[in-house]
Amino acid sequence: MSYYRYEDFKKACKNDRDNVIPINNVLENARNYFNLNTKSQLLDFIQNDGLENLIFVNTKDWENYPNEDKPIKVDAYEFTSMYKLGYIAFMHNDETNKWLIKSFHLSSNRNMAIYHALERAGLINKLEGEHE
Amino acid sequence: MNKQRCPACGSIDIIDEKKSILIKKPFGGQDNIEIHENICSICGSRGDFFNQNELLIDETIKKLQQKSIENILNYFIDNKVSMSSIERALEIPQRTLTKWRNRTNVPSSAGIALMRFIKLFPWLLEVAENKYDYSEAQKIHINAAIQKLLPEIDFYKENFIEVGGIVATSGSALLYRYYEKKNINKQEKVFNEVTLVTSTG
Repeated sequence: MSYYRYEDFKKACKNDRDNVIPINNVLENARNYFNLNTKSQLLDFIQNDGLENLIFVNTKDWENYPNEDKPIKVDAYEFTSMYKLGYIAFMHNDETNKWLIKSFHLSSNRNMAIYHALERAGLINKLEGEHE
Repeated sequence: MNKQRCPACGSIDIIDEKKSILIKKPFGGQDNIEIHENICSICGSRGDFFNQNELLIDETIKKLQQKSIENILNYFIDNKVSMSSIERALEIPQRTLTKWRNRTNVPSSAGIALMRFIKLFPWLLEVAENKYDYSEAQKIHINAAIQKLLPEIDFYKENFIEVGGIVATSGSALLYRYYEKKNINKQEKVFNEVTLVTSTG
């Protein structure tokens, strides 16, 4: 069970963009691995349902938050986009009222769940079989 | 009152550093730009907290994309493929490419993607010339692939000046021929010919 509603995060990417901040290597990875060159392009992609076949991975406490009494939760998901398997983690700081995209990169966890999601979406071999 | 705060932990202990990043665009080369990187001394988060880099990155990308369009179109011109013929084959309005090349108009993202594809796979122009007919497109595609493959195939041709063969299936046949002959400059030259015949039924 995720801590945040993904829809709320997505809504912020659409309507409250100044309050969504990619941190650490997010923009660099978005540019290098997903052809998303700027913050605007990344948020457009998220709000346009670009993260397909989302699978919730886990919720963890953000390890770097200085206030240990009031931890900030981080939700992580895997997703697909065309042939790519990706990973996103985000959190919300109520104090600053900002959504933080903490991670955005290719997923190294090639588990069966995402494979089945791809299969359900008909993405496996879909393009190859198109003209047969 | 309006102090800048770390969006992640709320601290005001933020350092602003300069960082160099390399932006590359296919066929457009690369550019090194210096961007702001905000670093929070408390939680260690870093990034463009205050949206200072977006414009510079965007402008750099546009500049490289323009350069890539010019490079791609110059490549076709150098190879004696006129812009008007490309426009005709792709059914895009005449002078579109000229306007892109001389910066009168800015190509759309779709236009840039199209230019990259025809630079990588010039035979797509022939596909367009054939009105995107699937069967013709397959032949053109396979022919292009075979032309690439042929020089790698060992025909046991050491003792021959000419070899050839046929590979046939129920629906198609591939005829290939390798031969050496002197060209008009009396130089020995190697020729590879490939013909692909497929049933359209």
